[in-house]
Amino acid sequence: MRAYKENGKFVEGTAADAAQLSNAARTRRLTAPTTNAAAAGSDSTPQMVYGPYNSIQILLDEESMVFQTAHKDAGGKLTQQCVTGEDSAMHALHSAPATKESSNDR
Amino acid sequence: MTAKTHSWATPGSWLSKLLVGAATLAAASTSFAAATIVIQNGNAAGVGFNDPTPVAPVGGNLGTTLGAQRLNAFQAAANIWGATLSSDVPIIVLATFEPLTCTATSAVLGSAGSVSAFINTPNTRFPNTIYSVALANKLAGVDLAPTQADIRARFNVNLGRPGCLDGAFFYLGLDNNHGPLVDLVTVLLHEFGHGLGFQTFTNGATGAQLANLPSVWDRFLFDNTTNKLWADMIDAERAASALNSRRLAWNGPIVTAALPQILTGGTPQLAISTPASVAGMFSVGGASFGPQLTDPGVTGEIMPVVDSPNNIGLACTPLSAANAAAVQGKIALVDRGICGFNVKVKNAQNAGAIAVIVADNAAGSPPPGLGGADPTVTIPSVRITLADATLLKTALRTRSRTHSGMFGTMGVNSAVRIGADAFGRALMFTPNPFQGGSSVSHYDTLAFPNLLMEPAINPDLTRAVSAPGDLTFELLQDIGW
Repeated sequence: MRAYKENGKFVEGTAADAAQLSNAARTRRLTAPTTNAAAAGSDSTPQMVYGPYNSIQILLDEESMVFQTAHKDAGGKLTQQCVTGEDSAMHALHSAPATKESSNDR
Repeated sequence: MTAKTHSWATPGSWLSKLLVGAATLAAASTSFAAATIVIQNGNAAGVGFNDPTPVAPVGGNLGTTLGAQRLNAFQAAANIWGATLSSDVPIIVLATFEPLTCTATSAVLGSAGSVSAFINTPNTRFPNTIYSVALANKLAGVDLAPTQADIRARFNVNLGRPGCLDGAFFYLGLDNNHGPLVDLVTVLLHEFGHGLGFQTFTNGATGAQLANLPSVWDRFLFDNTTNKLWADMIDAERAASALNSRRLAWNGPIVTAALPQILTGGTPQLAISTPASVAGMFSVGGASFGPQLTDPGVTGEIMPVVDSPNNIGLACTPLSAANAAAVQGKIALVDRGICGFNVKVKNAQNAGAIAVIVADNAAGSPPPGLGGADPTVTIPSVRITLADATLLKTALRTRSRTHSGMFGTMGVNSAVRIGADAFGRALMFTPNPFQGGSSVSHYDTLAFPNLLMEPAINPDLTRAVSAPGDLTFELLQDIGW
């Protein structure tokens, strides 16, 4: 059972708690318009726990982190690019940064 | 070297990390201002913020060790944000310097972001909407997750060393006099901005929302084509909107009100008046050579150069007599490829053209600028996308040898500020193809002067985070800060 937090303390969730949280998410999915394509490409289910004031806390992972990458060209000039998610950061290290400067000299 | 991954998404592991962090805490400094931002040193003894390597003062950073100077730079960025924000709840930034992915020519400088987000906490404007924890805390007036940090920041401890963007160290000075080095304070201002809420949690590539709920961000993203907010779209519409170059705007009143103080000048564009089949405004990329575009700009008949198979006009050599006759006194349409842009423009200029449109030969939007240099170029030039060029070329098929009947104006629309839409709303970065992680959660690169929250950190940034120097804080105010 996943632990959840209430009033600032972490306690063990009960089966009823898990069911309630799951139902809340399911209800939202039923009411939110989605497409098959989006569903196929959607992210893994985020980890959610109860927070104070009947709120829900979403625990974010590396794919929500923002990464700053940098490239150095043959002339030694640095360009930086900001991307969200570790996968995107790894991709950005091997692609042209999104600068506003004139690009592609020919 | 490889990027470290951390399983800190679970409360238990976070608690463990915090306990470890507390045990190894060499120095935790605090900024007392409109908001209190605490930099929590998560490094072990002897590394990162605790690196004892003696260093000389640099740019007003008086730390005597490398670790101390790093912490001072972090605190400087925290001080700037702390003086700008308003919150009764301290914002905790758990920070470390550690090995991150890098090669001799590229590197992850660092990463940062909100540790968690909340739904339906007190005093939020929008129900069933995702707010980053620091903002949720501010609005609630209490620390909703008191055992956790609010922002996690990791930076590359090896930057500048051999094999890790060799020689390109972080500039740890506090005076913005970074020269060719990476200014750590500016990078931190940007990354903290994201951690404070300058990002959507919705997947721009698929349109899928995190937990099937909109981020507060999505309630201000307005698509000028569909006239819908992201929060009101279905996934497919959001995915399409994320590719809708220069038509996705920030519909927040505070940004819109402040924008005229910052973004100056007009928007470069190509306006086609006839024929009716292609009449309209086209996005252009400006040139780094030749005269700047003006208002009202250069108006003329558009004629293509054709000097290669498949109706391509490279203009890499002096134009033939037929091509010269076609473009004499007109706006020449040439194609990208083989030679430099300035070479093409100079050849068209020598043939008597009054301006040049370069058609891109690779798909994508918006059109980048034209690189190159030639002080003898005296006519303006722009680049248009391959898609727009195809549209124009189709309409040009019915031309004669010297007339096309297609008239256009290349210039600057002073009524539309650069980086804004026609309604004065800030444009968001929406290139096509999608740039994972950069798209949507930044201001458009067209903005000028440069803004802190563009996808690329430009070297001329001033460390301003609010008007009249920047628009970051105004956007954060729109979402509730």
